[in-house]
Amino acid sequence: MTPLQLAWANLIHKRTRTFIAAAGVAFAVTLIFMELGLLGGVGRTATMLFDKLQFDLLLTSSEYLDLSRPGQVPRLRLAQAHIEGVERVLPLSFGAANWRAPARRSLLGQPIPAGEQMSINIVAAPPEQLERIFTIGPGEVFPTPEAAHAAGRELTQRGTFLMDERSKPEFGDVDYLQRLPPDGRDGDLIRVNGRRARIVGRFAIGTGFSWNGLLLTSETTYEEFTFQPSRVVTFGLVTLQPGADPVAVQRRLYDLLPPDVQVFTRAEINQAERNYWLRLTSVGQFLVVAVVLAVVVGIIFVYQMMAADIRNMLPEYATVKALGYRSSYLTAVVLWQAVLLAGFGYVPGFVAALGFYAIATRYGGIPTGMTAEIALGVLLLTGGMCLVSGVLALRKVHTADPADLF
Amino acid sequence: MSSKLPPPGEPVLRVRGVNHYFGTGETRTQVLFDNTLEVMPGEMVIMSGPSGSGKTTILTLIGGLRTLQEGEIEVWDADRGDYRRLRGVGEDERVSIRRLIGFIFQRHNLFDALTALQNIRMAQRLKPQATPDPDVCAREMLTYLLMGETDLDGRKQKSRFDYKPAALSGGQRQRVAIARALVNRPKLVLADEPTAALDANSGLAVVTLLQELARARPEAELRERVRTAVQAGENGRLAEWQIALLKTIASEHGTTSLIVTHDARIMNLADRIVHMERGRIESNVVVAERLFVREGLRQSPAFAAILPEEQEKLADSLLIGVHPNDPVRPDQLAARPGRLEVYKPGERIIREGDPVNDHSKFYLIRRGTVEVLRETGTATQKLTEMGPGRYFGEVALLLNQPRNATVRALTPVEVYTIDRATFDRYRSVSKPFIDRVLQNFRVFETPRAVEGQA
Repeated sequence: MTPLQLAWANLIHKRTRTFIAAAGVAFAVTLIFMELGLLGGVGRTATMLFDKLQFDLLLTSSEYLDLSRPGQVPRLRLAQAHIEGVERVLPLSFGAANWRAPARRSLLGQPIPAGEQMSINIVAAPPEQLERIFTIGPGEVFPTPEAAHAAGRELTQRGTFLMDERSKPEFGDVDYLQRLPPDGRDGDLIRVNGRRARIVGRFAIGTGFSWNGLLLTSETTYEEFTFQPSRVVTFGLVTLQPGADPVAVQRRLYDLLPPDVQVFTRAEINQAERNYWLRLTSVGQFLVVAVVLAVVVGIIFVYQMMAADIRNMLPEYATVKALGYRSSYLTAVVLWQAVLLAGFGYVPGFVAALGFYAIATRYGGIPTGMTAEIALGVLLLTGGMCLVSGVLALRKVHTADPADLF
Repeated sequence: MSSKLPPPGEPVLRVRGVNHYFGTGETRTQVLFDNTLEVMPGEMVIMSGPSGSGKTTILTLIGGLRTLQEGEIEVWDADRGDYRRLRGVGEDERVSIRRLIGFIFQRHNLFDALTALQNIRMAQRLKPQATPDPDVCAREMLTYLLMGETDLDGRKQKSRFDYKPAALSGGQRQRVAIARALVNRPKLVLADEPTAALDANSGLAVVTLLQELARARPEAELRERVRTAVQAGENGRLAEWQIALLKTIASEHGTTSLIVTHDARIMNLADRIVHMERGRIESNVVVAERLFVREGLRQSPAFAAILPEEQEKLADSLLIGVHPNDPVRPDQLAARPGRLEVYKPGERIIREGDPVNDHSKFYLIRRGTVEVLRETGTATQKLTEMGPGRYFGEVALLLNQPRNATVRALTPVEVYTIDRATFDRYRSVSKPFIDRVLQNFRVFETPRAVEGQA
């Protein structure tokens, strides 16, 4: 009997105990998966807007902190940024507004009357440039350049908005909203910042931790509805000529432009956003603490099960010692048992996590997904967790004293 | 496999001056007091004594299950051909000494998760160079212990090889534990009540196996144990097929066992009985030597004057704990002084005409041959030669006459001796009783004499 065989036989023999222990491991594994999945979701939503924009370099205010406090870039800088190697620089504004929700029904079917005030975010861009600002393709902001172009034409009318079809459901169904006449004839109407607004089409970006719903509009409408002066924008989207080196252009822009702007490469802005969400906000820290807690709970649970098992088997382990096995054999048996338990718990935990990820993505609006990194990371974490329990339980097994056998 | 026995006359197990203490500081209590014991190859040793007398403690020390505190214990390693010391060695060395020993515990302590065969495999795994097919070996052992496909009467039965302990009876579990202890053919077996949970037949099988592993018995002797259930009674019986299997299993001999037991069936088969009281070895008797001395004394008419139980006590006071077939070593002689004398060939043991006093002795030959000579005028006449079991010098015990012959050693000779003072002490205890019996006898025979006294 190798230690592995003995450990296996032990676990198989005590089915109930093994089942409970594995269930405990599976529970901890599921928790860890959920929190890591959410953490991944935070990282992914942090860069969600940028992922949907076309740019090589991003011009922001030097006060830029994150999407909710982006600062302002004078529109003049966009023209100044038009240097050698730059194909074009397009403006993009981003801001928050009040949304008067239309009537709707809750998840349980209760009617909720119209008039509820909610916060919504607005993206503003030149309507004729939509297909050059947003990503185009299946699953992207617009499915085809034609769709983007058509949407742009609609936005040239004042007071018109496109609605993000991936906004949270409480903002209302896009088809329903589109059918609402702007004058409130049907007893229901949409207001943005208190002004009557009209939904004329749809686009797709998604929600995250920063915003729950998104509107897209022209710069004119944006200025009108949010009272933002037209001389400032939020971002300048710099597209380079083919073959231009982004880092070299970035350096030259820094030399050229006044210090009230920053220039990010795509990698830099993504890194900055992720860093902000994962390190600087409580969301990231909370999730990390929750992972640690799940691991600690798992360790304690598995330790309890293993220690109880060892206590029952002390005479057997003492006999093993009397037969002439070294302590290292018992150590190996206990640690193998821990590793096997980790495996028994990981598989159901993994399956459960896949289900929860689907639910979180579909109903929670948080794009969680199983990646190889998470799967492998959690596997190692689970193994480590059970091994720590095993190591703690080892002290018990080494109290087995063959002298007590006679 | 090369397994060597210790040199002739040397023990497989040597315990010298062992003290042991439990607890520390103020609660430290001594549980073993200066215990010394030697066990020869192939001996079946019974440890007896009340509970708490230290039998198990000494077993755990010998087995390397406990750290030896004071004294010396050496165990013969048959593979190395050398003694292994247990004093002052680390855990690693003690673990490897444990592999030389088969432990049979009162509680079987089998792994619940493993089948009977797998439990035995746990022990076999520690001896990689063992039999080519460990599985066959384990099956043979279990079959012999009546757990295979054949029952005692040769009928087919369901084998218990692949049963887990939960599906076995208490006796069957114990037999698996015994098979596990013996499967590596250890040269030393330490057992605590090995047969307590066993029925008569499997108990006999276990004892016979231990005996056969100790030394080969003639088949006729084994065949006496093949009998009907009625004949066997509580003593149990073997099957004819078990004897054939026994010879296969016990292909090697020289296994020594130390058994703590109250089972009379085993006690009767012991080669040595060690009795402990309050942490001390009170007696250490080689059964063959005790029989030898008792028988020798019984032959002499001088001892007719001593009651049978006093005769036994006197005989026991002579024992030196060495089998009469083995020569005595000087250190054994020194350990129990005044019991045995050793003479070289040609040395005179007693001389004709020597006066007799309280220190004059009676002799019982243990080993060797002597000649008895008597002066007839000028010539020396050789009366006879005597060998082991014969005695001389008894006249000195009864009469105050000088020695009437000379006795000289022809070969190296070992003789048990009793001086007259010792003899008189035992006789004086017996005398009142014997006198009373004789008196009654005389009353019956010659009433007049009694009347005359009155």
